Amino acid sequence: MFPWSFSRQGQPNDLPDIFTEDIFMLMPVNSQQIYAGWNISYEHQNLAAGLWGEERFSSSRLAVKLIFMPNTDNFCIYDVSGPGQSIYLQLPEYHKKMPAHINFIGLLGYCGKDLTFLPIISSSAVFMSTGRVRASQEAVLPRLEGRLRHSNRDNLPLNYFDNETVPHNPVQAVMPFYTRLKNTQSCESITEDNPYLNLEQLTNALDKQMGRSSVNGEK
Amino acid sequence: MTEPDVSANNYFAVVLNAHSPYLKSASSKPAPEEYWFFAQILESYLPLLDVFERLNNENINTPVVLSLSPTLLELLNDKDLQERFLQYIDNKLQLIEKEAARCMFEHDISALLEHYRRETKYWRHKYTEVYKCNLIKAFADLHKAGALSLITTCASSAVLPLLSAEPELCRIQIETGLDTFNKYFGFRPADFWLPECAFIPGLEHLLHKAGIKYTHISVSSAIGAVPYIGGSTCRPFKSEDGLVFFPNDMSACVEVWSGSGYYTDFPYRCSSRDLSDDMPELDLSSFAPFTSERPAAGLKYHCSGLTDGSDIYRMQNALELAEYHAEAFINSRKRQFGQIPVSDACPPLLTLSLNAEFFGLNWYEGCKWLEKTLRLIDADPDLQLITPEAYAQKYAQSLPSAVPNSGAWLDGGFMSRWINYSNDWIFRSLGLAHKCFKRMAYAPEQTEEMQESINQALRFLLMVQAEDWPLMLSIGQHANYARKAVRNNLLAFYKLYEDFLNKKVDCQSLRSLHKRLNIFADLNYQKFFPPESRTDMDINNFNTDNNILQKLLQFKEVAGSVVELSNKPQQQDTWQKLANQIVTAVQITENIAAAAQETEALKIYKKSTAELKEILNAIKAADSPQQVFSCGQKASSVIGIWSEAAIKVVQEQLNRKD
Repeated sequence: MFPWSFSRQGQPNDLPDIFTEDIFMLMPVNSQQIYAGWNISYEHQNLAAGLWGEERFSSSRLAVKLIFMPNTDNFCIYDVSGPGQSIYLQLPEYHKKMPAHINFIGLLGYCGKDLTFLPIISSSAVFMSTGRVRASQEAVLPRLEGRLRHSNRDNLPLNYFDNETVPHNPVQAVMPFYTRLKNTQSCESITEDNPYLNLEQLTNALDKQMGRSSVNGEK
Repeated sequence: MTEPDVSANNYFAVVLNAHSPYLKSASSKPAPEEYWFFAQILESYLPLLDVFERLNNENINTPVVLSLSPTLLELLNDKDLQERFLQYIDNKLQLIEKEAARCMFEHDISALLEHYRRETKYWRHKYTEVYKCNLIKAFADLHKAGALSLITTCASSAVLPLLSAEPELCRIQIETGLDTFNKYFGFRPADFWLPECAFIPGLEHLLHKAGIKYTHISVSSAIGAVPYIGGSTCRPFKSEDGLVFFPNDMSACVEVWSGSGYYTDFPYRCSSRDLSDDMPELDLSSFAPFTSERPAAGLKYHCSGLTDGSDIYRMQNALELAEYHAEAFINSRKRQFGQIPVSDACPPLLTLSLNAEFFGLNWYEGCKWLEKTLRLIDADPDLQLITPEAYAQKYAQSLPSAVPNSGAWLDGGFMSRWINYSNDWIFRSLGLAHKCFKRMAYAPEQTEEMQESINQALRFLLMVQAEDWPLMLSIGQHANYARKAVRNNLLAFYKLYEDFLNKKVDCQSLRSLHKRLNIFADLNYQKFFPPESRTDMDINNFNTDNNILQKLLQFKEVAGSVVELSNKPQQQDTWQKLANQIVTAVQITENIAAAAQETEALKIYKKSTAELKEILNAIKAADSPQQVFSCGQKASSVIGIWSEAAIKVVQEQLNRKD
């Protein structure tokens, strides 16, 4: 009935493709990783091939383009061609001083040799915590009384934050995007000489985006 | 040590979250997974009810917040499960008798078994004679008496940030949760528990629209709030909509529930060593007669470490330690309050949020600790127990405004527990199922049978969204059951979807699926996808919201049509067609801009859209067909420029294709 096979311990090997639906999702895993999963129907793959012509299409690679907001000149492209339909993408390294979150969207499409990008489908906007803002001293007190035993059990970790922190004044914080990702083409405007974005601009833009975040979808 | 300076306005809130995934077996016989639920009732819910009743009878003020998840409410209300729970207790009593005979010469274990016998009989009596098998009413009575403040959470306790790409489904989770709670308690709570305290900016609007006024977030969400509000977990804050956020206090939580928390101390009962695991040779067929598996028997003989050279659990020692830990906890909180900078605006509030099942099931002496802690707070003039709702009513005006950062209460606020190599396949499958469901919900012609079929599909979809499955897979506990649950629910969903695509409803199959998952009886997807929203939808040509490629092709077609119509000024009625085509062109450029969001071509999209809108206004104001066609010429020119400039690559390919 369905082209599913649950041979791997009940885990579906692939999604049913009889419904010709395209999906592309980005989900933050931690401050450095995002999960990307997709499904492009044959129909749309053929459409894209038709647009670019067989020769050019065959030399292009399936790619994910992440576009960081608010300065949309910041982007990186990941080559995701391969047998799988999901991947964990490693984000650019951040500078130590950075705000509590970043915001970006992803496009799944085909990237030609000349780095032209033919988008097929976009993800929803991703709002991602960077984990670089820590709790202040006041928030964490050691357990002083009633201590009988320290256990190393790590199966129930709570929100532990170390005290190696960034400044709590957000105006001091800035957000960089380095240009040394594997399989990545970064924007030209971010250079080694000027690797930072202005946080004030970023904060303003994020404030505006609060009203049209990925959840409520409103502008 | 000098006593800390503690003022009378030191507020403390306790928030407990009670949840169970929907574990009811479709068969008429009990399944092993149902035993997890029965253990929760026997070891956590009944003891907690007992604590709050006792405190209430003694007129001790305990405004503790308890979130009851909708799936838990449905399970508690299920008559079959109520009967099976009684059978479970009886089987357990039989097992205790057998164990008492086996261990009659082991004094410590015999004494423990005697305690278990008395305790189990007591809970059976309370469940049948006092509560009449209706725990929901018992909770409601305590709520009416003011001893508990009941709230709820999402329908299947989905982690909402993971569904954030589908705001309608987030809304369904929230609204269905509130509706189910309303069905059982007759009111919609203003306070709402976010599963795993997981938050993502934008969620506040959905919560506000659902009528929620207060919610609970993790430390990571609070300290990364924008704008920065001090990084304190003792200061609630509110959104622009007025939704008040209560951060979970890390220090209080870590002292109780963490790798070095109280419950790990060695005299306490070891919750992970159950008789069924300790003695694999023991015959448990009378306890779990319908399965070959060995569910936990709930008989635990060992403590976490060695006491007096033995690891046999000694209850009296453990209960004394629980009382001591309650005093230590209160002293620690008072010290914490002493270190919080004084604020003129509003006093600090420490919120201790924990899973309700932690008390009893994970920490056997936890109920004793909780009772003692609540008694100490009540007797202490420096501390005041309060519900977050009551606090907000007092101080909402002076709370700072901010939006929390995204975060959850495990793993430093990240999602790595819910998305990793063990469980990511669930979300890819879910992404597709969401699209399929939207296709069903937006279908223009829906018969009554079809509507019922869509509702049932939604029930299965809600079950797949539950937070429990990825968590089970992630920690490797009951992983096979989690896989089976996701797989079976998804297959049932796709069975209904396939019927929908074939435009038929198999009533017999639908009844059977309804019997299999009989939950959220009042669920109606039309509340979220009203009929008027689907009038213009063409089911055979359903474009997904963000398919850029299709929109570009569609635009090319419209652009061609505009150019063609502009070149035929002599024909009658052409101007109306032209205007319609330009309207469509505007819509498509807007859609492309929305779908492509912040791509490099966005500025040009926006510029073209604005110019096309101006032309459209000029067409509306035109006096003569000549003016209309003149506008049409301009429009085709704008469209031409747009095509050339904005999507150079695509246009090039379009030309090649031609």
